[in-house]
Amino acid sequence: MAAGDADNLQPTAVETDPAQWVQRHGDLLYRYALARLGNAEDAHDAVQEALLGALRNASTFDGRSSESTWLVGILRHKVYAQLRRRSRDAAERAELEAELSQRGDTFTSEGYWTHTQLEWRVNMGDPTEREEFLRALDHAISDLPPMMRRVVYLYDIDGLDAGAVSEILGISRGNLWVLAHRARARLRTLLDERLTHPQNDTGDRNE
Amino acid sequence: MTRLAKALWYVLTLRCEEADRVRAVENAGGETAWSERVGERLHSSLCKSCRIARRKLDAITDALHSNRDRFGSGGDAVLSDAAKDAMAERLRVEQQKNS
Repeated sequence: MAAGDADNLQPTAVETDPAQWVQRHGDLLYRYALARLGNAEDAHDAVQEALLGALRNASTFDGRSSESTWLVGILRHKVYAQLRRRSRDAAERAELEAELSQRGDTFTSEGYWTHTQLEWRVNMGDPTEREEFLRALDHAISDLPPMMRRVVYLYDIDGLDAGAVSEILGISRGNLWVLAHRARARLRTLLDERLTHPQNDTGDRNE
Repeated sequence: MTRLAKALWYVLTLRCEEADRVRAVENAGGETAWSERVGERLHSSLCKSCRIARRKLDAITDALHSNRDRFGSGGDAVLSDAAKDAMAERLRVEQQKNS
């Protein structure tokens, strides 16, 4: 290779077969969208849009990431665009207001715990215990109210910064922290129920 | 001086609910004032339930941030065969248009 050739290297398009995308990655893409949008119809539309977008840009797939990672990257933008559109919807605004106004029954009106906090500790070094905890947490996330769940997905799981999450969800920074705080408190309560009263669980952890 | 007195009053009178809010916001990476942080720590040093609650929040946040791939996948849902066929057909039509 001649000197300077390395600087001229462009990402090379890699063969990708659109006819196989739905069979190979359809379910993964659908689950990704469904988790964030919480609605099968919207998730379906987002996946369809993403696949069409990928088809138009198939020449940009350079094989540096896997085909599924590349498709998820395209889908992510479609999902965020849907969330942006939704944030302007009156019903979504009402849902947000409802979640922000919920006080819950964790504390007395004087601001003290209504119940003594129960201890649970997780040894993440133990594969069985770790798996049990992660599964319980996964279930708990899906039980969160919609706006709190979106904050957890976008901020904690997708790793977006606070400014980006506020912009996508159409909420102030202050409200983002309120939702992040309440989501964590709710997850803790849900995990209390699952980890300190395992007999109340659905049993799928024993699979 | 009034500001300092207010901050000290806040620290000394902080209750469990406010302590929990401060630690959850801090835990999520949000901004908190020094008086909130000091108040939360002082309160937690005296309140067993708040210490336990803090440990649990730390465990939840660590698990979320260390296992992002695990939680991003959204459960066991699958596309129906009809939906897959419709999507594949739409792709095929678009592909033909473009070729």
